[in-house]
Amino acid sequence: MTAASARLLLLGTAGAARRLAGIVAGVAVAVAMLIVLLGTYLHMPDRDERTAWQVLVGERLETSADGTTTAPDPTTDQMLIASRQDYVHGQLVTVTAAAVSPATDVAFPHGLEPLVPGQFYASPAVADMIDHLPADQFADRYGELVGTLPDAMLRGPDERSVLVGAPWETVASNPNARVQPGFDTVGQRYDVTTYRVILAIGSIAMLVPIVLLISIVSQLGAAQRRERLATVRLIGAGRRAVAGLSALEMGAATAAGAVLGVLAALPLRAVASTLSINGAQSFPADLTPSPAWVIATIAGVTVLGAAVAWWQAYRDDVGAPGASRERAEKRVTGWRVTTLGVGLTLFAGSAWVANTSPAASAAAAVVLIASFAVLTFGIIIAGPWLTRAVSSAYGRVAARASAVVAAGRLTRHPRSTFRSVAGLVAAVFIVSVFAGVVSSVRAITVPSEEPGMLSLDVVLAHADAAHADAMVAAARDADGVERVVVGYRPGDPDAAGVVMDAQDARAIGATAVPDAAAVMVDTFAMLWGTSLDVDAQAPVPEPADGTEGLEPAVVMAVTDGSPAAIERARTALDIAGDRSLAPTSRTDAAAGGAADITQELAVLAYIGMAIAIGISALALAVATIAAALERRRTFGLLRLAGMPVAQLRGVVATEAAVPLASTLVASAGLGFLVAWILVITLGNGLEFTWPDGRYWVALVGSTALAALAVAASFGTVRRSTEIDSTRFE
Amino acid sequence: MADALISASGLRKSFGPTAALRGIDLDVARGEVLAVMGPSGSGKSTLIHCLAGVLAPDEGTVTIDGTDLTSLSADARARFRLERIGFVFQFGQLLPDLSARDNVALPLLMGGARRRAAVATADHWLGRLGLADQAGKSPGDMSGGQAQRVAIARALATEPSVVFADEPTGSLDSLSAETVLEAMLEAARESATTVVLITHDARTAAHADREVIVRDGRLSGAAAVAR
Ligand SMILES: Nc1ncnc2c1ncn2[C@@H]1O[C@H](COP(=O)(O)OP(=O)(O)OP(=O)(O)O)[C@@H](O)[C@H]1O
Ligand SMILES: [Mg+2]
Repeated sequence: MTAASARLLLLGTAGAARRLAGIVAGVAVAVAMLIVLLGTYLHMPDRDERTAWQVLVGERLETSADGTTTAPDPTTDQMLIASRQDYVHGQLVTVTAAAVSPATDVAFPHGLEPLVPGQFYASPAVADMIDHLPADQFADRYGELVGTLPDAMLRGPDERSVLVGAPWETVASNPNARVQPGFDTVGQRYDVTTYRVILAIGSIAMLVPIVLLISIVSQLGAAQRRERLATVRLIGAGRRAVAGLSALEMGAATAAGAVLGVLAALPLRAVASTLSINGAQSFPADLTPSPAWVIATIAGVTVLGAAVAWWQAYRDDVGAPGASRERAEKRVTGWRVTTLGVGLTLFAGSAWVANTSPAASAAAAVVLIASFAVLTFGIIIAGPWLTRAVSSAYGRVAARASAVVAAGRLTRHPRSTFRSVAGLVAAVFIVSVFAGVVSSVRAITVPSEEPGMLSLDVVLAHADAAHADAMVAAARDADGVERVVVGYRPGDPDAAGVVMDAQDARAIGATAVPDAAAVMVDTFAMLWGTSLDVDAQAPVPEPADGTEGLEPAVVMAVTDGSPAAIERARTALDIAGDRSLAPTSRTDAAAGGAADITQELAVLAYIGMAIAIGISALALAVATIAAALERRRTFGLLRLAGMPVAQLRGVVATEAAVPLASTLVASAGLGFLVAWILVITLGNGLEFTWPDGRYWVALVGSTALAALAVAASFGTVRRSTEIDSTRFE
Repeated sequence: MADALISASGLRKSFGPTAALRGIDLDVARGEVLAVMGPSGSGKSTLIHCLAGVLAPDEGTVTIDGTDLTSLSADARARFRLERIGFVFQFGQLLPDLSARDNVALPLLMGGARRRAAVATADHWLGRLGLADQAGKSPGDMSGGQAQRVAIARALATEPSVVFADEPTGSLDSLSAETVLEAMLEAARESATTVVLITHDARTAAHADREVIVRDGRLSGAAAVAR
């Protein structure tokens, strides 16, 4: 028998078009996502390369014991550069200050004109903020806006950064400043491993449902042509030949889907570029892999599709007619849970090692991620066992005809019934882990007034003797400032804290202030907390001798708490100060934490999960239809004997609902367990917090999609069992 | 026939251009065992599908126990089949995923019986067909003859008025065919169930009370060979 004649027998059968359309659509969605993920992955380092100019690479200034710095005199072949993190209305702005001599030879990046003191360039996002905010709240901090930083100097379109021209002496007095011959062009390859690992996990999360979809659709193909395949086998086609045909068909469909996916990735980039990654949105080019990678992706997905279909057809070989009798699957045993146990042990172990011995943490991180993959895999392996256990218990109590039929099928075919829902179950596991971790991190980063901590209304600026008076005066003049507090450096250089008036200490939020005229307060601890712990102990002020003869160390403005007043106080203190560090507040301290990063990861995770859940729901729909077609004879007989269609639908729905219900709860539970392990070992004293509404939306959404997917098969169930379309002999 | 359980008149049924039934009149008495014979493709299966209300004839009427099936909706006919009719086919009619017991209990459950009662009834009928020790087995682990006896137990378990059997022993060797047939007819006669039995085999037909022959969609010449 030639391949050509086999093709005639197999291809172009009823339902083939719809089945392949399902594959094309599913693959297209997944490949579109994959392409964008891949582009992001590949261009991750470019983003840092573009911001190389912000990196301080030169020699540090000489600093004497009392903190004063010595800088070289201005020359035409050198610059001084310093940077600081500024905040405005809760947004971080990266400020790079450059000082050059008037006739400098130092080239500014990308052909920008050298800046003179008082001028600055701003990124488009900052320029936009300047347009919308009064100058005394923001723009006054930097001077005169003379141009925009080009895209080639930004990590992403929403990056907030400014390049400020500063007087030589100002930067020279900044202990963090560097002397360098020009702006750096190499950049610092920041560690983007975490992001890359997450992107890799995201891609796997995308591939798992697509592999399941392909395998399920191949199964549907086999179900639709069972008789034909059996005939082809009888005529003499080998098992491999039949599998080869199936691979050919699926390869063509996945290739078409992959090409469509690449086309769909173009508009998808526009949406994806608005997502924040590593603190900035992306330029579309950052999400676009090179043509070679695109071709490799199409080829890889095609080969994967063909291989899965080949294996599926080879394993599920129907054999010649008569030879095939419906058999139960091989019995699944409790051993299947061991993978899960191994994964969990590895996971907890490596998390513990990463936590306790920093030296081994890099290796532990790799094991951590590997064991995460093992865990995900373990859920899919253990699923059939759990399905069988639950459904055989269910079969014993089942009372309705539809329940008895479904339980019989589930107990004897736990693998294939679980496979229909495996994608959803795995997606729910991953989303539960993310949700558990993310909500725990966020729990401490929403700042609130806490007794003993710096009041949220206070702006704190570092000061020295030379600037303190001007800072106090400027702060007093700012609208909305109610009190200005000065903290002095104590005589004992080892003492932690600053000395101030007891009344002042109370005004900035200190509690348990002793009955003394002057007290020593640890403003640093009041600002940052003594640890990342939610229940950080507020520092306890101690009595002090007085402020007489001490040098000012900090100036604090107590405002009326309005955002405008806070920004005005910040601007006033900044202009009058030494410009080495930006004035700050406890809100900034919180905003600068891990919260933003985790939040952006959460958004990415939820989007990825939404897509994985969508594809899994598609797979479930296909699997349900395949299962109905495979049994059209028995279903038809049941209808012949008088079973109402509603009860047949009940059978189909129960066969999806039981494995979903029995494994979904377990996988969500396991997800939270994993999140809890992560939080208590690596969370630096975080407390595990239950996830927010988005998680429950994701969970309810997947259940609703599953219900829809099952309902989508009802039409097929009815049509394929129509008495006129079934012949009984 | 005054005490006819099934009464069909003027049945015609076509599938596209193929006229499968071309005007059949047939009465079957209560408790009668009727054998339907005829060459392949002559319309035997189509006839019993029409009699059982599985197919709606293009013309003619079918009445079972005073109920005119041709006037019922598809759902009502399904309900009627569930309560009043049993089927036995040549092979492959058992649900492979269910035990013999659950297979027999299934139509009872569909009719609203409780699980415990349905299982008890199923065991009773399996016992009557000599399968008491096979109740827990699944069809895949049974011989063809055993599986057919399970199918017969299922057809009889709802105590239907009539059982339609389409070559119930067609896939069995002659020895087990004989056993299965005897088991079925004995059980049917004990409960006074009417049986309409399609067969190609004259020896099988010899067990019937009466025999009709279908040719080209009509009952041919010696329509009623009474014994
Ligand atoms: N669903 C259908 N669609 C189209 N034609 C049909 C259908 N059912 C039966 N036929 C045709 O009607 C005629 C009678 O078929 P039927 O199955 O009743 O024959 P039979 O006597 O049971 O044959 P056999 O002994 O081979 O089972 C045949 O020509 C058959 O091809
Ligand atoms: Mg027939």
